[in-house]
Amino acid sequence: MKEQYIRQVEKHLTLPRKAKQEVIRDLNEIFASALENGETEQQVIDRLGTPEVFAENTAEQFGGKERLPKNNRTILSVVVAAAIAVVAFVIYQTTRAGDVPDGVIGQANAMTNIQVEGGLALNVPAIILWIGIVAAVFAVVQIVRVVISKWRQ
Amino acid sequence: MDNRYLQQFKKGSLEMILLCLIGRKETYGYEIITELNNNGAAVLGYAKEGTVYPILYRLQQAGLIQCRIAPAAANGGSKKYYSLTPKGKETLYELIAFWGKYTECVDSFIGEDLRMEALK
Repeated sequence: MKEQYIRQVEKHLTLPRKAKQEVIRDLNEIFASALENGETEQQVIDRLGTPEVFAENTAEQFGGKERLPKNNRTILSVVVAAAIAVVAFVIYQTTRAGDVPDGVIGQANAMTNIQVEGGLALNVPAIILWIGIVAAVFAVVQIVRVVISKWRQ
Repeated sequence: MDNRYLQQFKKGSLEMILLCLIGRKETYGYEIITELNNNGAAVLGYAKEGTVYPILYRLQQAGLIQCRIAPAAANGGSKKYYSLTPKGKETLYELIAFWGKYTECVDSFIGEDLRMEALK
């Protein structure tokens, strides 16, 4: 009964992880103290009110450090992901622009290759390109999810 | 007569009452609830964790109270002890001073005449 109540509060509480943990700890103390003083779990739950209302009142009072509502968070994540994708693609394009095809006359690539290559063959442009692709896919998936959930409502 | 004007009064004063309780001595959640119910239930109504804890969170966020967690043998877990911060103490003193002026001011508007009339 107590476990279920606490789980429900946890589910409805929109707070950063640390604040959430604090609230859960306090709830455990509330139950423990009440039981210690001869009350039943049901009595405590009656006094606490529904988990939804308790979670809501609690989150409200944490003011300022509250997490954004879920919808705003999704929108924010899409914007950030899209921005990352754009920046990554732009960087990728500019690095590509500087690339010279293999074997071009006058580039003396036989000499410079000796210095540049070897060790960890980290292909920075490719990594940036992949970051861009992942961010873009993430943004698209999020948008699709929002559209589907709106459409279902 | 549980109208919403009374509710407003109760709500507004609960923060100050909590600061008083915590300011008098370091105390923990259940003790706060018990003291509220033993001394204030007749006027304030029964105190509930669902009302008190959110206010404690707000006071803590505002830096007026601080807490320390100590193991509690009896309930096999821990207890959170609240105390006032210097800022909390200062705020409480201000509130107490204001409360004096406030009641005096409201009393003057009520006046002897209206008081007599209301109590009739």
